[in-house]
Amino acid sequence: MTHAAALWLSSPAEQLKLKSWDTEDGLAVAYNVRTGDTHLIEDMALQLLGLIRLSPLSVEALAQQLASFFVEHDDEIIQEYVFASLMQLKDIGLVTDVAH
Amino acid sequence: MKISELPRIELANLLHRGELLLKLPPFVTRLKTNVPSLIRDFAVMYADFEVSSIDAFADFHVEIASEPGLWRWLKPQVRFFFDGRPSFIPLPTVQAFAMLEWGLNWCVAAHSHQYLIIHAAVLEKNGKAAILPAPPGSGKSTLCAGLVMRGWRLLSDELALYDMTTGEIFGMSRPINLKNRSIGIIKQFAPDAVLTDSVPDTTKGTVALLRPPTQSAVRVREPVRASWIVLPKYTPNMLPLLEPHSKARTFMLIAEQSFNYDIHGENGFEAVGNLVDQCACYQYTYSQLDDAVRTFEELCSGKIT
Amino acid sequence: MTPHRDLIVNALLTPEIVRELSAQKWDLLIRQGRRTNLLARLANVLTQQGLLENVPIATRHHLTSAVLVAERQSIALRWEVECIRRALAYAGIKPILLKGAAYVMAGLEAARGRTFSDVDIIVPKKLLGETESALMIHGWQGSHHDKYDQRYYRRWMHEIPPMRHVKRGTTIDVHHTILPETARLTVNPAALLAAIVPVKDFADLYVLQPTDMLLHSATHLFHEGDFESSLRDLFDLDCLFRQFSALPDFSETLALRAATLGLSRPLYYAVRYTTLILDTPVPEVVRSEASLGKPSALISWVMDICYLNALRPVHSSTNSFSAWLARFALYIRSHWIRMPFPLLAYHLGRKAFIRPKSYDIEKSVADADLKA
Repeated sequence: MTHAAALWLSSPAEQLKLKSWDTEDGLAVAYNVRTGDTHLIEDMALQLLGLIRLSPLSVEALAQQLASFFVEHDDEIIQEYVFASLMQLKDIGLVTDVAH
Repeated sequence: MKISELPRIELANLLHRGELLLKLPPFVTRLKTNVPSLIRDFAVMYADFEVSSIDAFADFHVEIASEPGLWRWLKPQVRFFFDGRPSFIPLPTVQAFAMLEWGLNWCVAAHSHQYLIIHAAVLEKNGKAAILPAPPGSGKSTLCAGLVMRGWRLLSDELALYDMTTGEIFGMSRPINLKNRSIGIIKQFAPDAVLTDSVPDTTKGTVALLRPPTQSAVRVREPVRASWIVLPKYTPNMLPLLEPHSKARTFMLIAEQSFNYDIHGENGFEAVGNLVDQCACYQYTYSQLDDAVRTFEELCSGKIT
Repeated sequence: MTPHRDLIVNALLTPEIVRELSAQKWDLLIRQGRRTNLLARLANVLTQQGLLENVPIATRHHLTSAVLVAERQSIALRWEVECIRRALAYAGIKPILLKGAAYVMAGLEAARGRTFSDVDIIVPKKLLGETESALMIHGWQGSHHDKYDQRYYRRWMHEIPPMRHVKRGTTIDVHHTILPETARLTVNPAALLAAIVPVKDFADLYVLQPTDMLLHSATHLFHEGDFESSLRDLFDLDCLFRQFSALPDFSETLALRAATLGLSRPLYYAVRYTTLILDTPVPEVVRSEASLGKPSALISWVMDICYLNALRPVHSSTNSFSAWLARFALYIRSHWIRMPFPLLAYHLGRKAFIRPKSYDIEKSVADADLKA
């Protein structure tokens, strides 16, 4: 798969401010200090950002850690979903991919 | 001294000479105009507002002047000047007062970054306050006017001035901008309401402005701390429904509806976060003002938590 | 010839005067500062002198608001430059930043409290096409769709038509030299581009060397026909003179460099009007060598009258017939010195017949996007 080669890391804490509430919808907001943009993000994206805050992980590792979020059990589908989320987060500058 | 205490002729002279300094706490605006209908509307709508001395500092210098030229006989128009510079396209003279109101909104929103300025109505009763943020068309002004005519104190219909360090919200208690059907609804709901003539064919449809109650104008310097953020949603023929609204979505709405959220950067993010934390957030679907008054009464008395 | 010193200039040069200002003088000062885009600079000066605390609160809010806007713009500008750098890095192009963007990225005093409307970069003429397509791939679009405008820019100007980013709404001006190719002064862009310096911490981002940066700033100001921000630009020159004069060899080489680039005349004006209007401490060697660029006695007399009037704040408090006349004369001159006469007539004629495109003032106040 195309995403196998990369490790993912979220922006450092001083560049990325997060705010979440203990509410049912699990939605959170994220502020990108460099771009000045604010984003509404979903629960899973929030978890994802948390997992790669300190050290980078691969899509496979992330999919394993986030498996409990999915009713789906097919690893490949979960990985695709995680990858798509990462691409979206990359688009808005909240995560970066680093080579192995 | 209040506007209402000035003899009309003196008010007109001051406005002609550009020597009227209107207190719109926390601001002062210096006004100039030669448009008779504007002077008339202004005297009524701002009757309870104070005048500042001629040598005071004015935050904004505003003029609304008749456009010169032959066309003025056929199609009289007025132009808005900010500090001597023409700003925005001219509008028909009948829209002069609405133009003043819109222009003042722009003056405040574009220059006063000591506040986070939220496009929202703010109302207070018994020391508790509600913020009604809303994109156009949600019935915010109608609801605001309805509550104000039933004893809620008006802080603002359009601009909530949020002090990000103290968490206090100020409003200028300026006239409420009613559009289209809400004009008739308010006239029927509150026959004693004082409105300007209805002006048809503005870019916002037919508009009329509602004079703020004297009590609101007198207490204009008292800020509030918000308890609720309520998103009004006018839906014809619906039973009233007050339901909790997502905090994260409310956050995004407040940020979107703030004129200078971008300028405040990370502080703005923190400030909106604090505001959303401190408030109970609701969406309120309604079709009848009487229902709305009852619901807000229940909120205020703690029957709804 | 002594210039009339307006309140905003006075307050920036001798900030102590704010201790004694009446409410009405403050009112005038804030308005002049706002109109000239110098409010944030004034706020910074007052802060440095420990005077901001004493400013009446209502007035101070206008100063701090302006600082907030300027700081925000500086952050946004850094991000914009980063986006441009990335877009061009893919194509192997190393942009050279000009004007405001250069001041910010080079960390110059002139950037403090300055506001920006767009980013200007310069690239060698042979890379113009590649630069344009690299930017297009990354979301910038040409903004001038009028055929005449396109042709005018491409044939006669020193830049391609401004490009606007579809998502961010930001504008970039891509130049290949610092004056239109038709201009009466002939600039030597190759010499300019051969002496660039990298921006600290960036491998693929450049600015002009200090002498050239100042000369470009001067050239821009004294070829300009629009005086909205000319007083601010004069203060930029003041900052550059003050900061760069401390650099070794700067003062000794400035006039020579101006001669090499063909910019002795703008240097003369820069020295003349910063010293005359802003008391800028230009080193003696620069003053004497810059006089090589002085025009004939008659022209310098006329230019003094024009610039001492035109560089006053463009504000109702300074409106006068002489200021209007001076600005009008300089507007005509700005076209005259940028183009040969037949083209000038063609250009002004065209502009007279085509209604200017909608700009701010053409908006309805009811629909005004208050965020803009």
